[in-house]
Amino acid sequence: MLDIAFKNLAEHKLRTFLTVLGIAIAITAIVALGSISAGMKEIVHSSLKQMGSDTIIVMKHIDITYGPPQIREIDEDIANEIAGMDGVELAVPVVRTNYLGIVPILGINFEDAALFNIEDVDFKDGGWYDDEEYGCVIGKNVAEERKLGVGDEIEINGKKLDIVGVFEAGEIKGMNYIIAMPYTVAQDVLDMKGKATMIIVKPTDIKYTSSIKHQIEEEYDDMQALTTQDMLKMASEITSTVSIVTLGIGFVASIVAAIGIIITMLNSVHERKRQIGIMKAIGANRLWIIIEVLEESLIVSIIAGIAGLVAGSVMVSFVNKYVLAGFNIASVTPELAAFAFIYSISLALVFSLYPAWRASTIDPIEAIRD
Amino acid sequence: MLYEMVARELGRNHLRSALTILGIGIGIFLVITLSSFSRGIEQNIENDLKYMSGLITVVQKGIGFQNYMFSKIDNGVVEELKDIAGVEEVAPVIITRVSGFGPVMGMDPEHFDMFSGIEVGFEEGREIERDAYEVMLGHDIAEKLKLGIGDYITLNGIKLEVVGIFKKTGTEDDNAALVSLDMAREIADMKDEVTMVMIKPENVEDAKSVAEEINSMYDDIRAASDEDVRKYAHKLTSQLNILTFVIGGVAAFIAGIVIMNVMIMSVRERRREIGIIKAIGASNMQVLGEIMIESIIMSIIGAGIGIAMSFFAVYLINHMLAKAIAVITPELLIEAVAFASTIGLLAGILPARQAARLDPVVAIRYE
Repeated sequence: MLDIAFKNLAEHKLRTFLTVLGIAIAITAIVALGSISAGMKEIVHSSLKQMGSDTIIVMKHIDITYGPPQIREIDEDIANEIAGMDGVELAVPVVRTNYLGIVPILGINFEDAALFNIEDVDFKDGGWYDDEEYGCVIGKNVAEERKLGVGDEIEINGKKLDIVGVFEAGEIKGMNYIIAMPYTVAQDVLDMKGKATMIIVKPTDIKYTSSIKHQIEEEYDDMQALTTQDMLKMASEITSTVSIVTLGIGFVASIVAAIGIIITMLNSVHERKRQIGIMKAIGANRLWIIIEVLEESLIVSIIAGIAGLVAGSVMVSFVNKYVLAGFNIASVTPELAAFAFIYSISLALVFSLYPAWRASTIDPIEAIRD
Repeated sequence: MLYEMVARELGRNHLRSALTILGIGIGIFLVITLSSFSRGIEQNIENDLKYMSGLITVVQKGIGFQNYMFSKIDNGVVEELKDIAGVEEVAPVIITRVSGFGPVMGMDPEHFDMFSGIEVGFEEGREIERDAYEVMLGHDIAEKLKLGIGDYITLNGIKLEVVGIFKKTGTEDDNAALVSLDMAREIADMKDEVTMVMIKPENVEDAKSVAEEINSMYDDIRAASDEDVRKYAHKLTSQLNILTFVIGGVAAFIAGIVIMNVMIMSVRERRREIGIIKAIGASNMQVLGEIMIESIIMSIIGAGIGIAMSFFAVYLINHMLAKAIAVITPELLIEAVAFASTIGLLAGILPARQAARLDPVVAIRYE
């Protein structure tokens, strides 16, 4: 039966090509747009691994009404106050900038690095700084992009820092884009004496986590204390909004492609009215005809699905490499690829049902007489 | 005769024509709806820029003008700015955000006249007095909180009397509050610094040179004439406009492919008819034009449907978000119709050439 479908498609090469092209573009859009939210999700989960499950991060409320989120300064003395609260083992002020486009700076003393799960990153060269040293360690991507190594100096805001180590963080991708330096050095470089951007709080026991959170939020109006769960929730809210918007766009585009499928298949059925009539006259039943039409659209959608996946992946790697300068925000995950491919096939099959049904109701006598 | 044929052809295969038109309609709908967000942002920025016309804006260095809320400038610097040659008036401004309320702006009333570029009338009430515990509210926030003249509102623990309510402007300002500078210092807890400084030059023409002078004197602040800010904002919004148009355009592009496919089918089915028309004297150009027009007409009808759908969608979105975030500008409509016509035109070329090249003898014989 498949040979009939192939023959029909081959007879109308241009028509088949255009139909495939329409679906393929829609699948490309779904893959390219979907990769943004998939990539965001990956980054969020990998950065959450930086924190132990019991740590609490305290920072000021972030405002996104006016442009991208900005990190706001906190008085570092607050860390001492929090350290005095019940159930708190440790409260460490940290400087962490996170402007997109500028290399993020992490100001944390080596003795506190364990709080960020970064004390045992692999050093490709050199090693951790002394907390009294005016130096820094850089992630491997920073080193590659700026062509810097141990012994070089890096200039930030007009201040020169010695690079004492180049490290590679395995699982936590984002770390490779960071410049880490002792806490007071970061304050000096960023000109924020006495200020931190967040405070990391470690409870004496995980069971105190939520009571510490409430204590902090009650004490300081403008602060938020985020547990790992809070952050997971926030992150999934953001990524799901992005998913809805991006997939929504892809979905609308695919509806247009689906219209193309209906039109092509109706035309194909119409042109083969006589052929289908004869098939029925010599004994083909309605189901047989329906399957035969669906086969045609199945072939179209498989080709289109593969083409769309390839084009989408190429586009994503291009954007990652040239537009996002190596910071891989967009990512084509296996789930996304599988979804796009299955979606392509289901779309074609669902929208071919009507043309297939039309074909199955052709009256053989009328069709042959025409 | 040819135009009658166009109309007849579109009517001949109702379902197919309707589907094709629907396809391009959905494509144009997506273009307009997505673009309306970036146009809305553009319009809000334009509105902000009106405040600045003829003025110099000073913010902390390293903070983009779109994130001015996070800028900080020392009081001492504000005083020094007054002594710079060519500076007529210096207005320190605090902008903060009160959780559970919205943006609060602090500026002393004697500077209100600087902002000649805008004329925001009062719905009721009067201006605040300097250093008084008084506030003027935007139209929407007053309505939302059910506040009228004489009522009190507490912002971060500071109790203020509502003395004025602005007319509706249709922008972010409808949700904002305006207090005098020292009130804002208390609300935002900013004793030693302000958010930004607005400077009126003695001569409007000197705005650029005064801004340059300030930039050469200070390392930690950045001054920009309204023209600079406008240029910067324009660059940003035009990039965003292009991005949304391209992403939205994907569906319309697919619709173009569908149109092309339909026109190829249609030419194939009408071979005989086209052959006869050519045999009785129609030129190749006439046949070509006829097929192109058919394709363009479908696109334009589709664009009309897309425009109607997007107006509805944008209305729903703005209604749901209770803000005029998305805006369909006349330029956007013109661009969308031009885009649809271009797609129709391009999609028609190949089928039209096929039709024009038909040999009448072969075509008439064909069954």
